[in-house]
Amino acid sequence: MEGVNLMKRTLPLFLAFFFGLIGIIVQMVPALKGLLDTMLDWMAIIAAFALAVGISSLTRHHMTKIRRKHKDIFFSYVTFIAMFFMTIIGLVGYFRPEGALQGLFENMYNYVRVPLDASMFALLAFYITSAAYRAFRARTWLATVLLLAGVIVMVGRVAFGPFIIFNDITAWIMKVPTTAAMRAVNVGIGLGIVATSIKIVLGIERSYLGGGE
Amino acid sequence: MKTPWYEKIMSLDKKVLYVIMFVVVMIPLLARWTYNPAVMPEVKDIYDEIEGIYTYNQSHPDTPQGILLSFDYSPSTNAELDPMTMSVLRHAFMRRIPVITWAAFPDSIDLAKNITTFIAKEYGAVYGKDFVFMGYPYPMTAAVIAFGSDVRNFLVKDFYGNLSTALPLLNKIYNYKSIGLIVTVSGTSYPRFWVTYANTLYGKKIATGTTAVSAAEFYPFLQTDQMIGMMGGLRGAAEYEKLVQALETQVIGEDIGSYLRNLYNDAPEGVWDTKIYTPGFSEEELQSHLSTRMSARTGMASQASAHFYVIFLIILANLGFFLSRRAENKR
Amino acid sequence: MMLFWYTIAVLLSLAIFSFLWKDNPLYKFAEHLFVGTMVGYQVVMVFSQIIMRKIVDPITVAFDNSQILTLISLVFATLIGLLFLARFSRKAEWVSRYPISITVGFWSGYAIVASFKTSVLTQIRGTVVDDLGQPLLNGHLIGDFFKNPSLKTLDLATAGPLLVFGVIVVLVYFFFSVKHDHPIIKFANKPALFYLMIGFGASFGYTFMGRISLFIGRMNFIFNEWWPLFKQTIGG
Repeated sequence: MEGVNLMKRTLPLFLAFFFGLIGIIVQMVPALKGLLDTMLDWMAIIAAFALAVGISSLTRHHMTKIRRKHKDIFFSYVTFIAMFFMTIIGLVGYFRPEGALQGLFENMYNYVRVPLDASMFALLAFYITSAAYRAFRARTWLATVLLLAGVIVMVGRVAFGPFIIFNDITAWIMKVPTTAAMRAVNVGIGLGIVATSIKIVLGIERSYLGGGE
Repeated sequence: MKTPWYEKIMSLDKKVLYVIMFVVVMIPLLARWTYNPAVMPEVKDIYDEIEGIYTYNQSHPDTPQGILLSFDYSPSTNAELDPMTMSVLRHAFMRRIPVITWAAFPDSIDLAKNITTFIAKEYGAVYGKDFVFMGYPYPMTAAVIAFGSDVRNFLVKDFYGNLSTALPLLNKIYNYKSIGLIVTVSGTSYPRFWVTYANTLYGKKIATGTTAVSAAEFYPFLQTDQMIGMMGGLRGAAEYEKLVQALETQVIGEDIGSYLRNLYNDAPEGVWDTKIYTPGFSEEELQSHLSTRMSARTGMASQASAHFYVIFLIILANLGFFLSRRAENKR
Repeated sequence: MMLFWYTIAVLLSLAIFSFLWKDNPLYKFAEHLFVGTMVGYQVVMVFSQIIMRKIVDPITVAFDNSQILTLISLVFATLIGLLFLARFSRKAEWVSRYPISITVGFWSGYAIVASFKTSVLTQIRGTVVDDLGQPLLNGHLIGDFFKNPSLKTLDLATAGPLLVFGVIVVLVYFFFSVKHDHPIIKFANKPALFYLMIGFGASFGYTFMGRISLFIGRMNFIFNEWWPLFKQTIGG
């Protein structure tokens, strides 16, 4: 049992500590440039496997959804066929870059994948309009301040003619109160990153190991 | 009891709002109205920095400074960010500044490649000599740190499979000493990452192009000069487009169409690798190259009408809210 | 041929927009097509740009250049990376903790100094002095305003003190280690909320701008790229 705990828990935590120390030291000691380069190569290769495993998990997840027969199974087949088609033409195109399939792969990316992605996000324009109309109410003095700041910035970013003064007011709003508020948030984020990083290196934070023993 | 008008207003069907939004955006686009933005200091600073690199390169032709342009966005935000990357690339290629580009996400590799080659073609830039595309430098943190010593050791090949050591540009510009400016165009908080590693550890100048959604969070970095400039949203793109167009008129002339048509006339054979792009423009391509010079400013006219529409809606909704609250209090 | 692909793009965009009216089979088809093409594209890119470029190419280049030590180092890293494949086995899943610990540990250690300097030290410095080294709480600028009252001198005189005050009160507002009935924290509450509301209001304005831009981009493509090409091709 102890041996198992050593392999499953203690050794990974020790590795995190050891490599964390290396991460700190290589920054401070310029003579360790060679070690830094080696570490960067290692991180690249290990991360490459992580991404490959991630992509295969994503693919398996979608295949599982397809296998589970449900009323919209036709659309699951659309996903599967599109996935399979893109993969095949892309891989063939990679090995034969001058061939027609590489051109087809690029066109599928430019005229299918990109417009679909962009259109999905373009829907947000309508949702934010509807949300602003339904929810943006000056109920309290704080909400009124938020509303006024939002309206001034919205006018200022498109100011022309008689509204040009809003351009300068917007510039001031971004330069002073927004910078102040965001700076305080940034300091908080920075302290949080430092604290979490130190906790990971020291083995106090262990959530990255996943659940189980 | 008859519903008062202000309560009807507050419960307007969202489909009506959507249809009006569609009309309000469509009219300026169909009428081809454009918006002439006032250039903000944070955008002008980026332009001046790149002009500074050009001036430096004129007096140091053997040790030029280059620009590293990182496409840190996915296709979902291309409407705001493509005009930025295109304008910056136009500026760099026009001034013959060496350019290295790469993409931060697997989803944006082809997007980055297409835009880089699209703009390179407009200035007859030669791959390997004037620009290189490094593909997807994964993991980004390691690539950014590797640039501190020699990026060719970390990125042994470019996107097309050429050895990094075989590319003339990378033999001159392979670490931060030869990078004059890093331009990160992002829809997320990637610029923060660039400031943390490239600026804090290596003192490199960072210019940011960002979606309007993320712009507010980077103002603190502008104030401390951790970022030398920022293009925020479509407005920032429109401002930079305007500056680059003025420069293009000065350097090339008013008639860009003729310039592009004649660019590859009598051009020597074998200079340009046809794997990267084919020299010459068809009429369709020419239209595309000309229209992308105005895309941000054309979009801004619709942006203005959409903004005023939503402000009107907010005022209307709040008016309805106040009147109904007053009626409730009376009861 | 270009018209064909442009038309495909327009039809797919309209299929997505049809969701605004109501959920329908056309939208579902477009959505599932998007997921399929996205995952397929990522598989190809991970293979060509990650597996080939980051694993195979460095090893083959080291081998070709007879860089023995580099080769040994890269092969060792590959063996560590292969431990990730243990994630596919329920019994041996714990083996994948080794490469995770190495990467998470290294990057966490590397980030400590850089993040602290970027987000804390430099930001605090920026609240004391500006980028030219001049103090933000500058009595000379206040004096200049009284000598030459104008909007510009007022802005220069007040920007610094307002920024410093704002950063301090918002930091105090977010400090939860002390009870919030402390007099300093009570004093800082309302001004901090004022600054935060202005900041978030400005963020909303920018966010709205960002979202609309995405829709404008699509409409620009349909009306100013596809439609002229369509007219030109059909019109002859």
